[in-house]
Amino acid sequence: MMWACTFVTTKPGVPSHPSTAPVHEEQLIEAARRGDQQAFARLMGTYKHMVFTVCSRVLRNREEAEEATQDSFVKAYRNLGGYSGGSRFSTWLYSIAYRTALSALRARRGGSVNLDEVPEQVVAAPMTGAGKDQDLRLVVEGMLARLPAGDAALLTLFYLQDRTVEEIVTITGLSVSNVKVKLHRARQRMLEQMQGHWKQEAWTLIND
Amino acid sequence: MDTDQRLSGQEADERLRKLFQAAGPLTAADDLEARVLSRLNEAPAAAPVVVRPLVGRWGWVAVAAVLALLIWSVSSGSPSPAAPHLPEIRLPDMDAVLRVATSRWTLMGALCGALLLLLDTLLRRLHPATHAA
Repeated sequence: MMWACTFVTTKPGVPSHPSTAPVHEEQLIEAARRGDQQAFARLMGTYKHMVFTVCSRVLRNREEAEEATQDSFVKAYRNLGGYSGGSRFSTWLYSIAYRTALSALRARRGGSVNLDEVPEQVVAAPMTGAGKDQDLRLVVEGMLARLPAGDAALLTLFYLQDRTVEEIVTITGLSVSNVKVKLHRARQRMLEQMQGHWKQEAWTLIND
Repeated sequence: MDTDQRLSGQEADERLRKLFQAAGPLTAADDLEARVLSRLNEAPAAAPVVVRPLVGRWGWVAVAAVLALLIWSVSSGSPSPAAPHLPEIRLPDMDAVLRVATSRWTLMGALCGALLLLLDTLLRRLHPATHAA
């Protein structure tokens, strides 16, 4: 447990919890709003990994996710005036990222998208022995790849980002009940996977 | 596996949270900031909305002239509106041309055209940005 906590705080790209958020984030936002691009670059540095992760969960394609991440930040910069501060900046940003990725997915598929589609058979990524964190990431990615894109995105927001259901509602635009149902289903699917193919690797790495 | 199957919701949440946070987010490209800033600086300024009149100046003049001609042709010398006929205009006959040119319908048509041109000019002066070429 101690190891996990230490690991989280040193992980790049995991924005800090509000209580430990840099006190000058508001100043950076205000400066970026006035056109200070360096201030915006610092905000990007803080959130780019998570925005990229949200886009990747929806799109499941690295190149498209990178493009969607860039688009998200461009949109965010141009719409900073619309950020009222009513919610966390990260929530507002992830909302842009989620919707941008959804639009990209819609464009790729030429119309409607169904984030509840169970993906086709995914080949499990082999353990590389490249290191505990790398292997753990592969395990998690392997499990998420077997879930519908919508479930993977919700799980990421809920467990990785510690978002509340209400914040996930804001980010995704889904209803509260819908988010709860989807989260419950996604958690079950994830646990089933942990009890199956990935059980040994996942628990070994966590408890190591 | 049996132990896992008996996990309560809270225990499952704790385990999954631990798993996700230990794995961390995916890693975005190192040069993402530079790319985004480059895009922000390359993007052209929003082009002003250009609103051009659907009918140009000479279009209005032509419309006014045609309207005046039609009104004049219908209203002059035609006893039955059901059977209108075109007025006989003999080109060498300058009287007929002058009659058309000085008839009240022609004058009213020209006046309408002039008023419309005046209105168009006034709008251009009030909203010069939207009329920029």
